[in-house]
Amino acid sequence: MKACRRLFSGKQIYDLSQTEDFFLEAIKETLFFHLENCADYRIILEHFRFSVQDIKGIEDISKIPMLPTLFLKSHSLFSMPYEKLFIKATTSGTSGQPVKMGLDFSSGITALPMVLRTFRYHKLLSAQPVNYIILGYEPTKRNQMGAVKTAFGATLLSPALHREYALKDNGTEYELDMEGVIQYARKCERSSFPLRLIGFPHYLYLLMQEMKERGICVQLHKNSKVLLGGGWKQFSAEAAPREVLYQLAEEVLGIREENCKEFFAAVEHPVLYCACKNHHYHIPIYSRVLIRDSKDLKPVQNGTPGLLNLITPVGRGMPYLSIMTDDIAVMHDSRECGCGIASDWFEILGRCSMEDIKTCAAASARYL
Amino acid sequence: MNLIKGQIIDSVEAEELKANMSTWINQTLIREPIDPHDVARACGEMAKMLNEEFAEAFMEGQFLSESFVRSYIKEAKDMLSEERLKERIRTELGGQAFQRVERTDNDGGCVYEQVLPLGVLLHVAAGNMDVLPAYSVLEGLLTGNINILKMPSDGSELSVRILHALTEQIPEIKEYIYVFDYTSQDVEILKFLADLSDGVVVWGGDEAVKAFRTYARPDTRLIEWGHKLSFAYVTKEGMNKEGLRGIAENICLTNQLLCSSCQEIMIDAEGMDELDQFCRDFLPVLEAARRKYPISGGHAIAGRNAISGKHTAKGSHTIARSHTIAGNHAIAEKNAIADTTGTENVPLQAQVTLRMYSERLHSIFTEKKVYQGEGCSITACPDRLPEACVQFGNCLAKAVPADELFTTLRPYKGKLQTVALLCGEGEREHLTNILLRAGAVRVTDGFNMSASYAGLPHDGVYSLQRYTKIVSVRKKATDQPGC
Repeated sequence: MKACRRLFSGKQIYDLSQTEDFFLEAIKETLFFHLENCADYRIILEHFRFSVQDIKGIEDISKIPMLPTLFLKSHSLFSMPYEKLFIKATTSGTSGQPVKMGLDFSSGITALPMVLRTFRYHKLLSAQPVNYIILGYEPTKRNQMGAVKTAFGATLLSPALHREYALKDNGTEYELDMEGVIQYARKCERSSFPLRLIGFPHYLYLLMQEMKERGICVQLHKNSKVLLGGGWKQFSAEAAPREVLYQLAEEVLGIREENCKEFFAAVEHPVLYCACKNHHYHIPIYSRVLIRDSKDLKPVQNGTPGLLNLITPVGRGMPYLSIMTDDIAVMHDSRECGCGIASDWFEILGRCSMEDIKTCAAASARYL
Repeated sequence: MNLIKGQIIDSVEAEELKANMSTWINQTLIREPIDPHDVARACGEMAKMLNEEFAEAFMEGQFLSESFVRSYIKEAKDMLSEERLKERIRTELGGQAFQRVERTDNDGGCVYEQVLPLGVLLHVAAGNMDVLPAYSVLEGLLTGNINILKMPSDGSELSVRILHALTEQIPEIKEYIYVFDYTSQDVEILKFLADLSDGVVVWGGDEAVKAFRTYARPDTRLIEWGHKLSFAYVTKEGMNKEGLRGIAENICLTNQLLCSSCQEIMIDAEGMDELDQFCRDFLPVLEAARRKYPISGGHAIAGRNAISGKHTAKGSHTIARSHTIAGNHAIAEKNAIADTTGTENVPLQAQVTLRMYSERLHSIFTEKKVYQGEGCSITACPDRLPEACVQFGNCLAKAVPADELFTTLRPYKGKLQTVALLCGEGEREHLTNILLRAGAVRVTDGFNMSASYAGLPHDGVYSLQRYTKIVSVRKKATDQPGC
């Protein structure tokens, strides 16, 4: 894993040209590993007549056969036994059964500098203890969801005095405890430590709307922050514009826009994307992002919408180097942002989910 | 959006509803029922108003091709005309529908039989097509019933507006239509409404049907219009260009979204070699149909995954519920319908591409083989089961020898609907018999699979019969002579 470690220990996390050679080496290194350890992945690459020798320059990474997350939900691929994975998580499968996912120990160590440097770059790393409100699920033994682990993991980057969860496990199911969260936020107004609210935008929006309706406004510690991730998911129809969320955050919580951060992540792709001060996801040195044409899956130019293809060399447990999510996205030139980060940035426009198609044909169970 | 006594109201308190519904309904029930012929007349007046604006509103959120929708609207105007609706009442309920027909009973006494409305119908409509809820209520009105409609949670307002307009055409029906937008989670309310009803009409998939089987009492009539499977069966003798063109055009015109759309082509053959050859021969036919009927522009993602124009960075693209994405252009100002030669619908195309790419990967590990064409595909499958495909021009092909057709289809008896049969004339009677005995209810050609005609039965029944009862009444007391 030498090339991968070298890539992930790069100090300038958005200087892609400096680390391009390391990236290519790391990709080839990981490809060899997975070819040797995952028979199904080898079969897939043979089907597409791809060989590692095809990677000569950075433009060749588009030739790596992509694995859609849709496919992976019903056909997992492993390059090592699941039990040996260090961080295990689940994601929702097509038949409602959770799908197993994981990161091996070695890759976890490799990825650690990425996490620390990303948080430090975006001024989120802090030795000062903080209180947390997690706008998501309380971790329990029976809940192995990736989102839960990520949210919890995020609370390790500043020492946690307390974690207050919005969705609490009552023994049989999860209950939304908005009242508990509101009371805790009020309590934190008097605290000499900052409060960080972490989680899904939908729950943050519900919380702030409820507080506003009840005339409850708090002025939290000036280092308090909002860290959002996971997108609106099934609540997309009620999604509020970003400006509205941040306005409410200032009005109701006393947290200004520059202390509000968004994250993009996919369980199958162990790279952290933190939005810049203009709320854009720039590509870090740890990955490359391509946008694929919606008809023929060829890479498209910046400015053209298509399917999101995420490529990274980190991860030995599963051969998920090049995955395609069901997000529709578009890539922009770095100069369209103006935040100072040199790399291009992608914007998520929406998702393509088959549940929205109205049909009276008796559906195949596979797609329900 | 709710409709009560001709008034559109935002929300109805459950308690208020429970307190008043029985009284309102009973008051209407004990009076003379509304005359279905008046309903037919009012409907005919409204059908004349089906215009361009209606077509655009209808197409929002649908993924049928524009050509199909336009021909569908034309067909609807005819089917909803006063003359056709009266003809339907005659065909389905008899020439003396709703009149007293005299007979004698065992004692020689005079009885009359009469078709009467069932009474109160609860309609539960899935979000298939936005006018489906209104259509269901219309059938209830044509049979003189009081109608309670539970709207689908993601339904558009179109049906409610149509029904409201109908109450303005004939004010007498204001008390015959109740529309509520309670969600499927409001189980107590749904059980309450089912309790008030003589019949519960369910449009939807297995989950919806199962749910309402538990909400309705055992003595309540259930009328279930579930999801169906339709397919084509092709023998060697039936393999002709025109016939195959019909199947291909049905696939592309309807995007395989309808219960009558061809999901799968079964051929009378033994093994994969013949199947592969069929796929190679059929692919160009399918591609030609796709060029004639491109994948629908329609509108961008409907429902809960819509992203409104509001929260996108400047200068970038958006996908809005009622807008199309057009290359590098900004959002259209009003609802735009992509025409057959026009802009592509990125999210829709992306969904189809993603699913077909996944199918391709799955096929690496199975004996399936994907024959990918331009905007369409056929997948040769080693199994024989009838099933729905990825849709949007991606059909399945399977080899099912004629002598195994019945046993292959029979387990799916409740799901089978329309079959496009391509065969020699000498085989037609025999094969038709097999298909009908297995459970199919319509045998036709590819061109007509999803076409309707006046009087076409619905899933093997005349629906108006399901919404009525036939009563028998002895006219006089035993000791009174004569009739």
